[in-house]
Amino acid sequence: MITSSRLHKQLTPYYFLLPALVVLGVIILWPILNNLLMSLQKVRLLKGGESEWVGLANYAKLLGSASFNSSVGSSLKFTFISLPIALVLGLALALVFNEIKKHRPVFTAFLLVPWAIAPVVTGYMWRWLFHDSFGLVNYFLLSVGLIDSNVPWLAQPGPAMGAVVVANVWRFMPYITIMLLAGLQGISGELYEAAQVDGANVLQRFWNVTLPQLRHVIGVVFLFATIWMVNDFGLIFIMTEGGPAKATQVVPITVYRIAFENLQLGRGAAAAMMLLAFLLAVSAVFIRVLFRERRRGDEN
Amino acid sequence: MKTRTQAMIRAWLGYGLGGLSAILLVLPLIWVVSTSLRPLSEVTSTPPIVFPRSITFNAYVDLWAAAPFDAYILNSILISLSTALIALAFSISAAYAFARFRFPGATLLLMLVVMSQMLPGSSILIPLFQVIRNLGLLDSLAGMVLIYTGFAIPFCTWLLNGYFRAIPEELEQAALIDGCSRLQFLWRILLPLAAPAVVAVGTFAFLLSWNEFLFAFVFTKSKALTIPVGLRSAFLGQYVNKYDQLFAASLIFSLPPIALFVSLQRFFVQGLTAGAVKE
Repeated sequence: MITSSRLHKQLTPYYFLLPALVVLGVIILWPILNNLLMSLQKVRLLKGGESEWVGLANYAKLLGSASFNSSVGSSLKFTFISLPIALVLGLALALVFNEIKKHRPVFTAFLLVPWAIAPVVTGYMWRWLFHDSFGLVNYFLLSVGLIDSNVPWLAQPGPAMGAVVVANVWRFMPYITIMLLAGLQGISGELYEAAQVDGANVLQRFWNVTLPQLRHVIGVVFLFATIWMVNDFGLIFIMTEGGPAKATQVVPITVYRIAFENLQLGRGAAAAMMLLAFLLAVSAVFIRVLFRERRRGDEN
Repeated sequence: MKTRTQAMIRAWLGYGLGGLSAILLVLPLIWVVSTSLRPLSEVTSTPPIVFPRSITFNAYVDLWAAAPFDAYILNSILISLSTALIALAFSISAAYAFARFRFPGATLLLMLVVMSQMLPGSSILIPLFQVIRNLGLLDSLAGMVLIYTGFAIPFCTWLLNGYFRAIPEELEQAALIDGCSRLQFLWRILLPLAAPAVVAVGTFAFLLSWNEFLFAFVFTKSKALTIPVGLRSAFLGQYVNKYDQLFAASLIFSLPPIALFVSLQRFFVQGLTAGAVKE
């Protein structure tokens, strides 16, 4: 028989957990479950209106609609154009910073600035830089002769996508650099010495030592950056509001518009579900690959 | 001899290229600072005047009159500080349970907590709106604090859990034998020892709420508007775009995060890279 003091003792950890679990339950768990249910319903907002089960109709409607498919395309473009550029530039910067042995924190402090400021501020800043008549980007491109008249960056579909990608790269590159810099410091000098003894030149050493050793960090960076970029709302919304002609209307902005402008809560929930499912799938693939790498690494 | 010259060249190249890229990286911000320090007529001329002709602090003075900007700042401060404190209290308590007790469901719960760290905000936007509305917390400071606390707890708990586990358990047993209660031990011994993690985690929760846009944009209308959402209505209008004041306000708003990041950069770099780099 359990005495009351023993029961109390067994319950102790749950007392400590309770406040956090209540908040997580209300803010995260309940909404996730509810979102799943809502995505299968036609939700009526008006008083007295009852929600009606519609099965997968919301999903079918979305997948058949041109505007949802175009927002998926915008999300993929935004993420998978930004990501490689940010990775390559971030790696280059990490290699440069790795040569700095003294006063490195002074340099990395600069790196932290784009990462520290709010996405909203980054958005306004780049909107201003890309301003057609007062912006520095057009001024610079005109003076070096790359364009002959001001480009209305944020008013044309292609250039607007380019502009939000530039802003996004600016924001994420520092994070990538910091991660890769930490990875570079973990590579033992012996590997380089051995490669040098074998007669490998700088490029060969980079290709055969540095890159393979960074594989794991690059994988982690790729995963996190993908998640963050696919979820971006603030930066794009401030710069373009998803326009022009929905060219930069990524999935999170579409979810917002379907639910809070068209008031189709069920359909919005279905779009949100697909976003979540996509990110879960990406995470699952990456985590599997990374863990397999790690296990193989341990065997060697 | 040859290798020494090579090493010298490498070092100089590192500093040169490193300095250059650091400057290029903050160049956009310098342009923003310069915009905020010049009269509106000068910054809205075509072609742009790159080097300032006149410097004025008018934007920094006028922005307070232009809009209820002081109300937005107050809201941001209240929400972010409350979130930091509450998230800290709840996460310390939860992390203590995970680090120091064995109980049924521990692994599963911790895994759920860790996974919810990655949850995209927009994926639960719609049901969360209903939750907040049903609680009567739309457009309220309390509602925003509740949401941000929920989004801060997972990372805070996970980081503190790691830190607490590294502190020897014998310490706790000795304290308990000496007649210390668990709460006293937590407050007087464990927390002072884990001070760096507590500071890092509190800062994280503060910045999360300070910079957040999506939820503030959807769940507030007037009473609980924070700076990220207030900037637009305050300085950008149909007829006048007060770029000088917009950027003066943006820079004031960006000072706390930049100051926190730069002064605590060691923790952030550690926190960011923890687990990602092979040991």
